[in-house]
Amino acid sequence: MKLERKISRNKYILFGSAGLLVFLSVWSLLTYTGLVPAFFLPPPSKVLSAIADLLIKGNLLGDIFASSSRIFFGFLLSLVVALPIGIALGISRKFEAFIEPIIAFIRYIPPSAFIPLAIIWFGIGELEKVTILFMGIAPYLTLLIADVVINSRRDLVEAALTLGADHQSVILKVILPNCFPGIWDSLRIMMGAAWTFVIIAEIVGASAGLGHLMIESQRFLRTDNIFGGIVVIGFLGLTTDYFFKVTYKSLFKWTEKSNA
Amino acid sequence: MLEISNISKLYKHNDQWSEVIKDVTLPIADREFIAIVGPSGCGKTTLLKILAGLLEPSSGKILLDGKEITAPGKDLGLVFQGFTLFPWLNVWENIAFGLNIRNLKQEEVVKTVNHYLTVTGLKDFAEYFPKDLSGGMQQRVAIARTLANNPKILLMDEPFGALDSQTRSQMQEFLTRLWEAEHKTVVFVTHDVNEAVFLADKVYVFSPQPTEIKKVFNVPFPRPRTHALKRTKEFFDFSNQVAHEFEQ
Ligand SMILES: Nc1ncnc2c1ncn2[C@@H]1O[C@H](COP(=O)(O)OP(=O)(O)OP(=O)(O)O)[C@@H](O)[C@H]1O
Ligand SMILES: [Mg+2]
Repeated sequence: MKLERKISRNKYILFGSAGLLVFLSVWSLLTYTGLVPAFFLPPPSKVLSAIADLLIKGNLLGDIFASSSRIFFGFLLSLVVALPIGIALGISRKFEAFIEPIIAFIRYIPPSAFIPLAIIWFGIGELEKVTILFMGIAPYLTLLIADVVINSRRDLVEAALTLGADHQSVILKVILPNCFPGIWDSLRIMMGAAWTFVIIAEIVGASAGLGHLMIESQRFLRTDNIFGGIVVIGFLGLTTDYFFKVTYKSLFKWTEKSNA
Repeated sequence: MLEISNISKLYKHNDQWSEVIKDVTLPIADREFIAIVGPSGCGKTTLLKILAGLLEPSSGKILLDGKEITAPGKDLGLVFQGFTLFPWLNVWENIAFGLNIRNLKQEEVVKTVNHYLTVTGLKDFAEYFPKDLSGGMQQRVAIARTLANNPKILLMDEPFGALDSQTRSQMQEFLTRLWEAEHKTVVFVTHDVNEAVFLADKVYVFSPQPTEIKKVFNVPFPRPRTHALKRTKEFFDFSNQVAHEFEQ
């Protein structure tokens, strides 16, 4: 719930750029004045040229592709597993009692703790990266989806039942469509986490990917490249987030939120 | 024949049991239109949900044509007191929901839905999502959705409560006409005595919690009924009699 009325698009952009401008000014102030040595915090221009260098001479596009595809597959696998389990958790008490303790347990293990195991099992290839992503995303996503399902409107289920729906139709025609927007939001939240996990996975034993780029840059003390990598990750995160926001609006026109 | 026999319902609230409905017995003949009036919070919604099979009574039985009702189904259609349209379906799809679930032929679905769109005056809003409708329109869609499903028994929980008086009159007249044409068994809950008298053959007055049947009135007015009836002295006197019992 926003307390203010809708603001115009131009105003929104204005406020957004103002925030960014403040951030950039502080950054420039700290760096161009020499207040902070460039080795610790390179100035904006240096970071930009680092990104350009990485694009042209380095393998930035390859790294982006490597990380993105790991996220894609890790995410897809998590979704395929988390969706049915999450829904079952949300609608069946017996299933909840059966599986909840296991998931709650796994959830509290940091995904980085699985790295040694995953390397022993799968080596340091793609499968290992995807496994780590899966271990990080799937348990959380399952519980988020279960929560969405649990909070779905009981009165709508009752209405469907009095219209002659059996349990299967209630699940497919009421609970699922009612929960899709919430599930979409859960995906959006977990997408942010996925970027964290992929970097962690790539910092240990990878030959490509943005995490690999960062750990290599550290080895050669290239702070500017590290910041370049951070900026790129930030932009990619922003893009995926924007993707989820835009698709939400066009997929779920029926929600109040879609015209917010 | 819908038999409500010795229904009681207790709710637990903060570890305390309270009796909401106390031993209600009420036979409803086929094609009978009965109205239930009772003060707010007396358990009318609770009783309708028990009738619809959505809630289990603490004791007693509901029998439909001799068979006990233990689960909800399409025979007992319920128009809910609150807004229960499916927000992701437009008006047309909402009305078609029950029909589509039964995999009826598409031409039949189209015909039925269009019919109820017309009678409820929603033809121009078929493509609207519920969030873009007024409260009264949403309620009309809900009524159309239940009617289109052709239930044996029509349970209505203050269905016109959210409507303005003009639409309300229209809907009342629409419902009497429909009943006179199709002769469904209707259980109509309201707290508007005039509405109950205008629509029903029998009016049951419920007492405050724990609910019991206080009195039954047989409505003497012949059918077909039109709104002119509401302005007659007989109607006025009879309604007053019921209201007197209700307010006591
Ligand atoms: N799930 C529940 N748990 C505990 N108490 C409940 C529950 N549902 C209803 N009650 C109580 O039962 C009583 C009757 O509620 P009900 O909704 O049936 O009343 P009503 O006659 O339909 O009222 P209104 O005319 O305001 O709609 C109320 O006192 C309410 O607090
Ligand atoms: Mg009620």
